Amino acid sequence: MAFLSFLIRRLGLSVFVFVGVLILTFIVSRVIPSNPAALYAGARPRPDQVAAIEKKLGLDKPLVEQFRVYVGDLLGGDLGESYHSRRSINTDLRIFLPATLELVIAAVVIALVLGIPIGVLAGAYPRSAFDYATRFVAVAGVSVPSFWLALIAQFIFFSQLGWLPLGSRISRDASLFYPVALQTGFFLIDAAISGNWQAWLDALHHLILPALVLSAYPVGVTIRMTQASMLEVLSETYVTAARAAGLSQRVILFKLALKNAIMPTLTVVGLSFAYSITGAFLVETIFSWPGVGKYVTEAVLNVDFPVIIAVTLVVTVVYILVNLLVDLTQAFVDPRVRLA
Amino acid sequence: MKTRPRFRIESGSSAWFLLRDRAALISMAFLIFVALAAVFAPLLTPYANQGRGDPDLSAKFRAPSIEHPFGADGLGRDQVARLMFGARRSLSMGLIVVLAAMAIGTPIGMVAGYLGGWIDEAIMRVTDIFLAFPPLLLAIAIAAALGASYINAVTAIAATWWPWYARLARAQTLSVRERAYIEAARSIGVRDRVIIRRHILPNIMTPIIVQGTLDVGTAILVAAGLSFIGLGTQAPFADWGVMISDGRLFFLSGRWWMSTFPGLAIFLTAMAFNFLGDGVRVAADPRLRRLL
Repeated sequence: MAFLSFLIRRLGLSVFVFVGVLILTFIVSRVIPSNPAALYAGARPRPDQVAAIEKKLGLDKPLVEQFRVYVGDLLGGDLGESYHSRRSINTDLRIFLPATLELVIAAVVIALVLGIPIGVLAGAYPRSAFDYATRFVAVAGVSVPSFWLALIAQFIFFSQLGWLPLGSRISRDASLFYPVALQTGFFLIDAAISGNWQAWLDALHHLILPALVLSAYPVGVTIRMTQASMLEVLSETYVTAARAAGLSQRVILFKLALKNAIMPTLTVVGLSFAYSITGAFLVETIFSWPGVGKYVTEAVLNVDFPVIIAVTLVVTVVYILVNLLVDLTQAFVDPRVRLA
Repeated sequence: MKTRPRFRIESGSSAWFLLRDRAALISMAFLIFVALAAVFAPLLTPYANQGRGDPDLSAKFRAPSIEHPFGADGLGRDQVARLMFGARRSLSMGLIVVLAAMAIGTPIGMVAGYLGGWIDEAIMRVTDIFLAFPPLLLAIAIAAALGASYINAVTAIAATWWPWYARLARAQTLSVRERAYIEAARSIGVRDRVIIRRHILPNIMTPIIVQGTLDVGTAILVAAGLSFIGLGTQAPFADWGVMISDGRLFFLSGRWWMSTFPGLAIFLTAMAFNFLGDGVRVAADPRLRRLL
């Protein structure tokens, strides 16, 4: 019962935030620019192009009317058209969004797999050499510019060691001889469904480096949060009691304490997602990864404003859904959350 | 009671704890060094005009040497000079963003926390909307809407950052609001505005300053990111993000120095702000001091 009322409240908040996001992106796209029509018409527009856009977007009408049309188009699933390529943004995003999500999910998984155990051990042995080394790594992770780390990683693992490919999602050979039959847009899933293991391995090979680079920030955040909450939990009396009862350190740390320390870390899943997305916007270009980040950075160069706004909106909606999912999981696992 | 000489740092005080934190100390020294290099850049380098963007085509792509310790870029500009002049922009971007976000967010958060009711509810829901965007994304959209420039990049980032401070200030205000001295002030008829400014603000400043110190590094990273994709500092000027971007196409073909040094500069500066922020946080919080 408590869960149901939490669910309703939380869904209500998401809907509210979604409406707010619509209003805010509308303000950014129509109210902030001194001449929105010129912005929508692309770089160096002719006056007749600007006039045509003005008419098409209804910029001569009152703002409320403009907003009605804006929302109507979006809810009808029409994100508009790129002024650079003249392609429908919907079609583009259907290819680019899964590419980015595949990368970001890989980075989040790496962040959790590396960050949680390291954070647990660092929290368990404060002031040890391991704790200091870990703190350094965590701070380095949140301080390194991702786009610079990407270059360094390419230099080491491609130029020097030759272990990993330079970029893109799949090699040309694999795409010629073992083409992936696209269904979900996630190469690893699509290749696995069709049993195309050559392509699967090739795609994985291409995924490793960009995913590792993207995970630097979330790994740092995960270590910090896990370490901090472990430190807190380990000073509780029930841990002392467990020690007195003679439970092994492994059971105390990873069974008893982690279960109580994991809650703030679950929040980290949402945060990791957000930071990986942010990193993806800067890093995809360097790895020639055909995702929304590359799409947006190219749009910035081409002054392709409709694309920038559409991507902002779509990625934010995905982010809202991820946060909703994280919160619901948390409430499902931990009764304290839903009763609060 | 005898007055102490002003410069003495009391043992056990916050400042004393901060000065015992080696990482924070080294960070502070490094940041002072970078700040001095930025401020006195025109006096410290013989290539000041190159730092401002003038080309010297005779030194095109010169590798690091005694004359140009960090090499020269595609227009022959000394990279040490570029880095020092870039520091002016990168550091100021980080600092201005955080100060602006603080200046906008703190009063809003204090008003929300102090007044409560529907005003509080409304303000908090607005922050919800801002925080629903992944970081950087909304800043990219706003910067693109305003047009690419240094000042617009700063505006765009600050416009997306203030809600964090509004939330923090609100939470702190809530915990201070019910204290006896606030009630005393209210009962003798002190106006709300004065209570917020004189009695609440000084008592919530510590966590806000701690957060600010931690945020400067992140703000520098975000600003560098915007510059990297072309929405920040414009040619012929450069900040560290622009320098990485300029050198990136040559990085793997042997001309590694153009992107390497500005990247290191961002990395080390952001790290220094993080260590310093951590140090300030621990020093200011007696409970944390005991735990660590």
